[in-house]
Amino acid sequence: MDRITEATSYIQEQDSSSGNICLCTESLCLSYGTRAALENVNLRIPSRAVTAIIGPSGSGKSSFLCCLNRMTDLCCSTTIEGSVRLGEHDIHRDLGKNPIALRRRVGMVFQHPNPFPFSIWKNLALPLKHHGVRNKQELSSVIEQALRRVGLWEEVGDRLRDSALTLSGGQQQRLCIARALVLEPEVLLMDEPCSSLDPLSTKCIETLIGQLKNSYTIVVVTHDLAQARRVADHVALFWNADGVGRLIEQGPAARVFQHPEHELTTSYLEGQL
Amino acid sequence: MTDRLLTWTLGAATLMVASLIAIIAAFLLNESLGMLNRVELGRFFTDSGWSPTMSRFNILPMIVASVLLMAGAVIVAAPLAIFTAVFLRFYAPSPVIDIGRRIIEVLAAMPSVVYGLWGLVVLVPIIAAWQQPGASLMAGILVLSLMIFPTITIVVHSGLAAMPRHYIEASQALAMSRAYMVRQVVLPAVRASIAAGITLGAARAIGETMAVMMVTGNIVAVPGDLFDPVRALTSNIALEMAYALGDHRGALYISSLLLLSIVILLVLINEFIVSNKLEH
Ligand SMILES: Nc1ncnc2c1ncn2[C@@H]1O[C@H](COP(=O)(O)OP(=O)(O)O)[C@@H](O)[C@H]1O
Ligand SMILES: [Mg+2]
Repeated sequence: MDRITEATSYIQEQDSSSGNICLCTESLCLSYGTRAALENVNLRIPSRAVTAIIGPSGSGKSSFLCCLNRMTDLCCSTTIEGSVRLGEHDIHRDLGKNPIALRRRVGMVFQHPNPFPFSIWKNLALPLKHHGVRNKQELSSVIEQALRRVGLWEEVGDRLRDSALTLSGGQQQRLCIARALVLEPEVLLMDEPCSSLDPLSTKCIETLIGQLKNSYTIVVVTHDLAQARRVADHVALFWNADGVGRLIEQGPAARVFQHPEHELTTSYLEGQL
Repeated sequence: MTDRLLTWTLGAATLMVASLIAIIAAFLLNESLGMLNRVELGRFFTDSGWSPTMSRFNILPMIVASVLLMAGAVIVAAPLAIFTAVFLRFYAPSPVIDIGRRIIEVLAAMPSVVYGLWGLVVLVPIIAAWQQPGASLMAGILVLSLMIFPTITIVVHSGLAAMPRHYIEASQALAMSRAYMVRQVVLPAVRASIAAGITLGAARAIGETMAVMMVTGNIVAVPGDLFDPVRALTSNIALEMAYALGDHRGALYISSLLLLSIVILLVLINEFIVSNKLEH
């Protein structure tokens, strides 16, 4: 379908984009086995800003996110064409067979909070130890810092040895964010991070996203348009056309929400679809 | 209606199994108590030997043998089994996974007399060539570890298969290597399955009769080293029950009761480990 629209909005964005581009995909196609899930996605993700990916379910938003840190490698039958560039590297070619270096730079938070079934301390210490922080003093200070950053220190600072599974859903999700941040990634991918949380926890995480964007590039998938309006600097709309996910519009949030270029965007934003 | 019916049927079935166990335990206890009225408990550990027809009832060498056989088999089989389960779940290419699992299922279901036969014909002569007499604690441990290896592997593997996939996703997203993930996340997360597998394997090892009887030489003595022949509690019961009378029979009942107690103890230890699943 609208190749031309895609192309023009791509060129426009290139001209008008402020700041650096952190991640960008070129003609990215993804298929699971023989079934295509994404086709020709050209998305530019500016650094130190929040890019919201919106769209109906099944439009390939999660799949797209998984291409960005190669979580797609976990399903053995996926094929990826086109490229994903992080800085000057093509993550599927230059970073070779080993995605570990990439995943240090591109962290991820999942739709359902997924702490390990260990203590709060151990949840944060495991990734740190793996990447060389062994000194107990240093571990403590990094862990405290990480918990403070997500506002958990006041709530759980005195019971770090308790199981992470005893925390509430919202606390677990913030712990997962803290865990992703201890490795100091450049990019944080979040797949519907609030979809299983109550309104208060959701607000808490939205505030957190607002603070984190000063230091990180954030890509957040959300099916909640109101949330996208609240947190996003840039918006990308994915659409499911004939069973294949495509990017149909992208741009600064204010522009996309006020003057959508694509008629599907207009109807989607007005809630007609 | 169907729900009520199901509840009743399941309830009845559970009650039947539970009362069966209770009946067996009560029977053993009853027979043993009769014996204990006549012979003081301490004598089972302090008598000068095991010749029950001459009223000497020391079963300590056989307890030692049974416990050593069990411990040895667990020490040999558990690490191999855990390693194999992890390999099949995380490292093996898919054709190997299918073949490996079939082989392990067959091994788990193989009758113990077949293991015994193999031990007797193949293993014992090899050990004998190394150190006489061949039929020994060592032979028993090796045959038992071969028997409980598939049991432990299957239990640990099903624990790994049932482990939530999001632990793996979280580990991968945190840039962990596969080896680190297995050591630090996966194995601790399936601790309960590992404990259950080892308990089941240990219980099978201590209860095994036929294979042990065929390869251990059956001499009642505390072994000085791995190459000495031993007689397990189970073998002793099987060997002597046919002709035992009176107090001799009573002593064998006490051996059975002891075996049952050891198995119950194993289950309790497992229970304890599982309830303490969370560590620092
Ligand atoms: N692991 C997978 N294996 C096969 N198909 C998948 C897998 N993950 C997603 N899909 C398919 O890809 C399409 C896009 O899914 P997804 O990326 O989850 O969309 P969204 O997150 O926008 O709801 C769906 O049709 C889904 O069935
Ligand atoms: Mg999704």
